[in-house]
Amino acid sequence: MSSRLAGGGAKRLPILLWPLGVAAELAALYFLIGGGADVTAVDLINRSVGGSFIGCGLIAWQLRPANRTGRLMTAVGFLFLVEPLLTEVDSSIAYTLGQVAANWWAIPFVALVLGFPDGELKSAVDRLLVAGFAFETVVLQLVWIFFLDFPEGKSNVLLISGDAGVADVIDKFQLWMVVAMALALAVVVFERWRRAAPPLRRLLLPAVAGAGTFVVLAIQVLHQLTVDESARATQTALAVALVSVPVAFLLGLLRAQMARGGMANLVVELRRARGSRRLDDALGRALGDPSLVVAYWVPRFGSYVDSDGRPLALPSDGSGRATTLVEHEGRPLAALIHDPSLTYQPDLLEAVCAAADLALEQESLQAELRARLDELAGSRARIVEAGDAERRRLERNLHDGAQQNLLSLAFALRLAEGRIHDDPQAAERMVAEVREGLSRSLEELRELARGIHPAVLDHGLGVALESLASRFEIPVSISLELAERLPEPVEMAAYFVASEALANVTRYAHASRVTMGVSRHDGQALIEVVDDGVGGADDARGSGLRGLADRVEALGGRLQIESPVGGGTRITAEMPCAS
Amino acid sequence: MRVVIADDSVLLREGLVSLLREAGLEVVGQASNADELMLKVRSYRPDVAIVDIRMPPTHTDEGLRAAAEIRSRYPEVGVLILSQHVEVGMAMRLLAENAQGLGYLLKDRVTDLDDFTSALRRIAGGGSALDPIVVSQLLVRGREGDPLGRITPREREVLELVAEGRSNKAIAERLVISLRAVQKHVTSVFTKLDLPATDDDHRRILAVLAYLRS
Repeated sequence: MSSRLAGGGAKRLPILLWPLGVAAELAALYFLIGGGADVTAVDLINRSVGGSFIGCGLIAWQLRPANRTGRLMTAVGFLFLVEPLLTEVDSSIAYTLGQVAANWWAIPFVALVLGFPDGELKSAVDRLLVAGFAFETVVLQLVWIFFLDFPEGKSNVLLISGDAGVADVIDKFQLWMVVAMALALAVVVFERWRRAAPPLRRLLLPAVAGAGTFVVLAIQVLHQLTVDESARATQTALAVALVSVPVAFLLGLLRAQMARGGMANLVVELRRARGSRRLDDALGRALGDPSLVVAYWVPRFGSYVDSDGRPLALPSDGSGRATTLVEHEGRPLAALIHDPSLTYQPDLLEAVCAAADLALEQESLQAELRARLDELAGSRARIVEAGDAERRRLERNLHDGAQQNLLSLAFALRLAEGRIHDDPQAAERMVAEVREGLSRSLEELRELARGIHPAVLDHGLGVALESLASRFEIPVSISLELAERLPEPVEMAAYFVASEALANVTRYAHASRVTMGVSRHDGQALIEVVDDGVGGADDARGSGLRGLADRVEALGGRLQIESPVGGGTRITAEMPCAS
Repeated sequence: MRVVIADDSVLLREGLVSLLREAGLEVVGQASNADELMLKVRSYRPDVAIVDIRMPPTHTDEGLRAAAEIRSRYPEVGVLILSQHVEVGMAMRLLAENAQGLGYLLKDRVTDLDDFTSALRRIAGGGSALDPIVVSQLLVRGREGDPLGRITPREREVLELVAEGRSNKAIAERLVISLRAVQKHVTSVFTKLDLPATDDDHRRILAVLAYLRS
């Protein structure tokens, strides 16, 4: 709110500055024409630069009070007029001050070009360039004047010692510095323009024009340094450029203003934007960035997803993409991933985000739904895969186990058959061996059948868990707090949770005892398997635990694994069971 | 007759060897994988190589690939592919190109020693042996207006035995009928199915299989 109030107060300032600016420009022109010397067109144009900046700057200031561009332009204009006006005053002090401040206008001008369109400096290089120009126009200029003898009839009140040699060295140094910094600025601006998304490049054109005047300035100074006189052509070009640049800046600002007119279209489009991608497209059009992507925050996953529900990582710094976070009532809602040049229009971004707030919230729910469907499809696919893998395992077990045993028993029986008459004792021994072999095959088949479906579950979960524990080498204590039996799928899942958990204990935990608990309260069945082993288990370690999680989640439940390294493992499955 | 046996299960291999020796066959080499099998075939040039389909390392079709290699490098060596289950598709793939000196049988068939050794002899002599299960599965797939519906039960029996790769003489012994009767049934079936008449056992089985799979 404070910035609003300040903005309101500042609104009156440009109105007050209008008469001052007009008076200053008229005075400057009056002194030029009334000076007696021959007045060339270039002189006239040069004298109009200040007025052009002031006029355009004040208009921009009034239209976009929140944007610093207007203020910077106004400052350039007034500072540009300081030297021509002060040198007309019949006073050595005024004349000297005029010389000291002659180039100060360059400081806000550099900031203006680098900061366009929002008036904010974008990088450390920007700040370094502004500081460099400030150093040159303020400090070096002052030092130069300490040693400079003014032309005849003017006395330098700051003179320390008139030394043409020293003054010349300082002057040359200043000029070379200007050349270097002007070219550096042009490179920075051009790079910024080149990297911007094509639709946003036109926005940066005034800055490019501003950078162009610096190139002309550099050429002129270079010419002056090498030929030791000013070139007429570059002087004209510079004057024309300086007069027209503020107009370009003003038009640029008005165009950005007009881009906000796209907002009206946005509101209409948002009503129609249903379904994936449409919102991305609508926002992209409103902001002039077709590459714009909306990332929706899904609290359940703690991550962003795209409009199709696929996980999406926000771009990192230096990736060439920028991110704007959108919040709704203090909680994250979405993030816009867009071209970095959009950050030059923060108020447009803000307005668009505000307008799209409701649509973003709706679409965010849709995206979350799609993400959950994806998750569901993934879990289904895993269940199917696990089923297939299990079938393959069973087939191999049967092929290499029972089938093979039975075949070899058939072979042995055939051998015995051939001996019945010739060697009945041998035949009898062989038949006995076949009988033992058959018992082993039967036991093997029973074991296999138990893996497919634990028939013991027919007698209740308690009995099943007891017999599971009895086949386990480490002591297992079981506590069962169930008034009645659980639904069959829940019993089955509970049994497999216990079975897989015990298998994991055997494989990894190095535990000395295990506790299993089954209970039910508030319509939730809870099974817990706790060991005192080495811990460090996670569901990435095997398909076993992941498969368990899928089985439990398929019943609407949740599987949790707490397994701090060295702190044992606790596997908890919670499943809803209507009683 | 000299045979080489390849099966990765020691239990089964030993059982097979005992049975085949009981039947008077000479087991000249045993192998537990495809490489060993190739080595034994190269060294001993057996009459027949008995090959388990599933062998290490992947336990899928190593035996099949070894069988193909034997057939291309040592055409004089017969190959009997044994499996714990037989599939029509697999039989077609195996026999379609060239059924000469090739057999595809369930492992269970070994226990009928007389029949098994006669199959081995056929294969050693360049004939074929196809498991009865495959044949009956092929015959089950009857179609609307199928000429198969017009053949007599006896003719059907003969057709099955022809498809298994047996000669007229073997069929006659098996069904305890005269050789002339077998010839009569074969001619009748081939006429009803519109198949080219041939006395060559190998050409005959191919014609029947081609008819059945079409």
